[in-house]
Amino acid sequence: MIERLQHKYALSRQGATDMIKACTCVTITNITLMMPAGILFCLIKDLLEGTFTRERIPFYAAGSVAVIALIALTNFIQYNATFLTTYRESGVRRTTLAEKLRKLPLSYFGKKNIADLTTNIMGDCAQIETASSHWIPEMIGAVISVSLVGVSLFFAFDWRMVLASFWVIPVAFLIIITCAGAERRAVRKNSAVKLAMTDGIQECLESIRDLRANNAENRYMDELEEKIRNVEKEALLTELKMAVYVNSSAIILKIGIGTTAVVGGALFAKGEISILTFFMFLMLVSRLYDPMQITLQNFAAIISCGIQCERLDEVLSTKPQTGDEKINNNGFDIVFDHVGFQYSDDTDVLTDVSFTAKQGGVTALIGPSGGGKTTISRLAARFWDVNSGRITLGGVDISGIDPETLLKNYSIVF
Amino acid sequence: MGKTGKFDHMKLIGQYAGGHKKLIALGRAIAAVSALLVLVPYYDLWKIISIAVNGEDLSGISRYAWQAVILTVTSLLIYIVALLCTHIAAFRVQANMRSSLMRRILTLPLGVFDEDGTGKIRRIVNDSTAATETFIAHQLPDKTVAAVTPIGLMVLVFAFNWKMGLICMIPALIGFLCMTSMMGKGMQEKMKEYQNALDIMSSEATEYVRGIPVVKTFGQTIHSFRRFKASIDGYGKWTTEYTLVLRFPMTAFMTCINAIFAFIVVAAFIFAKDGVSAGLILNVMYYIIVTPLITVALTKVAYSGEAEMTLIDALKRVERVMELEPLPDNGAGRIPADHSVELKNVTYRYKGAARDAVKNVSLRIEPGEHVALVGPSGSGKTTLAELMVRFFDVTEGEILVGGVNVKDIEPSELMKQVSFVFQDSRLIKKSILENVRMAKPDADENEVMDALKKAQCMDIIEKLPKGVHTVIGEKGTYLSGGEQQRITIARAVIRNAPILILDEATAFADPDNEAKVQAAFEELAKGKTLIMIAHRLSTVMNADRIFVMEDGRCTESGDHETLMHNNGLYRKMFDEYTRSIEWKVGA
Repeated sequence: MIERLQHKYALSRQGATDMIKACTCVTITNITLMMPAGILFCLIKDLLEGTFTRERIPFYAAGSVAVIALIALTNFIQYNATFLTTYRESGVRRTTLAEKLRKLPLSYFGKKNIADLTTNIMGDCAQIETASSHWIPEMIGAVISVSLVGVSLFFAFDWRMVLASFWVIPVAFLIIITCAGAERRAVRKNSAVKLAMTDGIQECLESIRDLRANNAENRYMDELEEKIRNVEKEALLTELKMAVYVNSSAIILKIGIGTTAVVGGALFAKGEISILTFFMFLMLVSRLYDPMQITLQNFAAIISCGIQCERLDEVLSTKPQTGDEKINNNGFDIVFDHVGFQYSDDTDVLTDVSFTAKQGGVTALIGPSGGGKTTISRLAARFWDVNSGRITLGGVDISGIDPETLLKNYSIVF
Repeated sequence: MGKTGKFDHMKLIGQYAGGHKKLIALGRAIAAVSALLVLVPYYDLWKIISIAVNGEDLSGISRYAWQAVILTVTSLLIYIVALLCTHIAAFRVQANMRSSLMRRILTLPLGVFDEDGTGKIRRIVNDSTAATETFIAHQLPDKTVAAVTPIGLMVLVFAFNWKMGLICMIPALIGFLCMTSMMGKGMQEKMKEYQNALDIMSSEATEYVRGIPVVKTFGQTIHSFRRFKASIDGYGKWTTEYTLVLRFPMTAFMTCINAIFAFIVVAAFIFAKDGVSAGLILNVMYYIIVTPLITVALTKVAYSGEAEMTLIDALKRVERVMELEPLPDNGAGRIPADHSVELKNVTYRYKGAARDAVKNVSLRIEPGEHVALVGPSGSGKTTLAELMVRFFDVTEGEILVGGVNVKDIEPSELMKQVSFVFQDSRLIKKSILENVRMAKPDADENEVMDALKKAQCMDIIEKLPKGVHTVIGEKGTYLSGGEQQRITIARAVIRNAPILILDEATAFADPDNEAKVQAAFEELAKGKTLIMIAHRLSTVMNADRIFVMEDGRCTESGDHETLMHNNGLYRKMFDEYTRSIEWKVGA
C-alpha cells in the first residue's frame, strides 16, 4: 500500500506514511465535525418530547464544551498533519528529483529540453504539494467519514431514508470516475499546449540577441503570440469540459435534497417514521452536501494531477548511471572492444570500433567533423553508455563504475 | 518598489482585460443573482418543517421539496454561466499579460536580465500571470457571492426570530475577526518573502538543470546540487514559517464557525423559559438547517484573502518588468549616409558594476575598411561591438553609424546596416531552412542553399537525416558550437548588410571546422566594412587596422607592422602567440 502510494504520487517512504496519517486525521476531524449534529438532535428530541428542562443544562453545557474542544484539537492536529508534513515532503521530493537528475546519463538531457525539466521540478512539485496536502487527505477523509455515518444510520434509523439521502453521493462520484478518461485527455492536451508556450518563452528569452540582430523580433513574437493564444483557447476548453463533469455531479447532489424531502414526507405521512427522524435527515442533507461538493471538485483535481505525477515518476524511474564507487583498474589502458553507439534511435555514430589507447602513450583521433572523434572521447569517459560492445579502463568495464568515481581518473580539455 | 499608497490591482486587471472587462462585471452580477437564488430553497425547507411540525396537509411536502431542488439546480446553472464569463476574461487577461510582457522584454536593452537569469523572467511571464487566473475566474465572483450572501442570510436568519438569529451570528463574527487578523500587514510581508524564496528556487532550478550536462563532465555535480538544495531549503523554511503563523488563527477560525450549534442550544434554553411551543421547535429546527450556510459562506471568504495576496504579489512582479525602461526611440528616423562607424569618447558601465567596461574610447572605421579588435579577455571588445549595434546605450559619449547617432536611427534600420555574428549564436527549434530564413523571411530555398554553401555548411547539411529541413533540437539533433556558428554565418550571408561584426569563437577543438569558419568569414566580408573581434592573432594580421583593447581602453591602433614596431601590448601578445605555435608544432 505504502509502496503503491509512493509511486502513484511520487512520494518518499516517509511521505507516504505521512499521507496516510493525514487521511486518518481528516477522517477523525470530519467525524468530530458531525458531533454537533448529535447534540442538536438531542435538543430537538428533548423539545419534541417535552423533556427540555433545567436538569438537562449540565448535559448540554458539558457536551457543547467537549465537542468544541474536540473540534479545536482535531483541527489543530489536522493542520499539522496536512500542511506542515507535506511541505517538508515537498522539500524532500525536490531534493530527490535534483539528486536523481544529476545521476542521469547525458543522453537524457538531449531528449528532454530545459523547459520540460524545470517544469518537472517546479510546477509538478507545487501541484503535487497541493494535491497531497489538501485534496487527497480531504477527499479520503470525507469518503470514509460519510460512509461511516451512512452505515451507522442505516442500522440505527430508517434504511429507506438513508437510501433517499445518500444515493446521490456514489452516483456523483461515478460520474466523475466515468469522465476521468476524457478529463485526462483534456488535461494532457492542455499541458502539451502550455509546454509549447513555455518552451517558446524560454527560447525567446535566450535568443533575444540573435532575434534582434536579425530584425526578427516581431516575426518571432507573432509566432509566440499564437502559442499564447492557443493556451488561452485550450485552457478555456479544458475548463469548460471540467465544469461539465464536476457540475453535473453537483447537480445530482442537489437532487438529493428533493428525494430526501419527498421520501421523508411520504413515510412521515404513512406514520412509518417520526418527525424526529424526518428532521434528522433534513439536517443531514443540509450539512453534508456542501462539503461533499468540495470533495467532488477535489476528486476531479486529483485526477488531473495524475498526469503531473506520471511525469515526475517517469523521471524518478529512469535508470540512472550508477556503478561501483571503487575502481580496481590494472593500469590505465583504455580499450574499445567492438563498440557500437547511436545518440538517437535512427543513426549509427560508431559501428564496431575497436582500439587500445595505451597508458603513457599519445593516441590521436583524426577525421572529418562529424566522424565520431568527439563521441569516442566522450564514451571513454562514460558520458554516455555504449549500445553494443564494451569499453574498459585498465581491464575494468567502465559501465560498471560510478561516473564521478570514473572521472577522477580523467582530465578533459574541450 | 518602495511605492506608497494602495496598489490598485483591479485597475490593472481592467487594463489587461481590455474589452473583456465588461465580462468580469457581468460574471459578478450573474454570480450575485445565483447567490440570492440559492437561498430561496431554505424558505421551502422551512415550509416543509412547518407542515411536518404543525401536521398540515402533507402532500405539500413533495411540492416544496421539488421546488427547492429546481431552484437550487437553477442557481447552480446560473453560477456556471457566471464562472464561464469570468474564466473567459481570466484567460484573456493572462494571455494579454504574457504577450505584453514578452513584447516589452524584446525592446529592453540587452543584459538587463543577465543578473536575474532567464528562469526568473520565465517564471514571471509564465507563472505570475497564471496566478491571476484563480483570482479573476473564481475569487472575483465568489467575493460578490460573499458580499451578497450575508444580506440574504440576514433576511433568512432575522426574518423568523431576530433574537435567535443574532445569537447565531456571534461565533460567525468572532470567526470573521480571526480571519481579518490573518490578513494583516505582517502576513503580506511573509507572503512576499515566501514568493521570493520560490523565485530564487525557480532560478536555481533552471540554472541547475541547464548546468548539469556541463558540470557532469567535470564530476562536480555535487556542488551545483548543494546550491540548488540550499534554495530548496530556503523555500521550505518560508513555507513552514508561513504555515506556522497561520496555525492558531486558522484553528480558531475553524472552531468558531463550527461552534454555532452551541449557540443554538443556548438560544433554545433562553427562549424555552416561556414554555416550549410548536413555534419555538419550528424556529430551532429552521436555524439548525440554515446555519451551516454561514459556515460555507465564511470559509469561501477566508480562502479569497489568500488568493488576493497571491494576486497582488504576482501583479507587482509583472509590473516591475513592465516598468523597466525600454531603449528610447526618439523617432528621428534618420538614415545612415555611408557604411562608416565612429565612436566618440564612448564610456559604458554595466548596471551595478564597480568599474567601466569601456572607458573613453574614440575611433573611426571607414567604409569598406577591415579592422580587428584584439586584447585580453575581459578587455571590453565584445561590449564595444554590442554598443555599435545599440544592444544597450552608452553611458557617455556617442556612436555614429554612417555619420548618424545610433539613437537617431530606427532599430530595424540600424539592423539593416549591421550584421552581427556572435561567438555563441543560438539556433531556434526549427528547421535549418527556417533558421537561416530568420534573417530574410522572403528568401526562397535556393537563396538559402546558396547562403549555406557560402557559409561552408554543406557538410553539415549532408549528414543530417532530412538535410536542410531537419529540425534542430528534435530527436536529439544537435550541432556542435562551430557548426552552429557556421549556420549563423549563413544568416549574415543572406542578410548581406554592408557593415559586418564578427565575434570569433574563442576556441574550436576541431581544426577542420576552424578552417571552414575562416573561409566562410572571408567570403562574407568581401566588399564590406568588417569589424572582427579576434581571440586568436592568426586571423588579424591581414586587417587594415588593429585596435588593441586593454582594460576598457583602446591603447594602440594601426596595422600589424606598425603595432609590431610600437613594441607594446600587441607585440607582447603576438610573440606569445608565435611561441605557442612553435610549441604546438614541436609537440
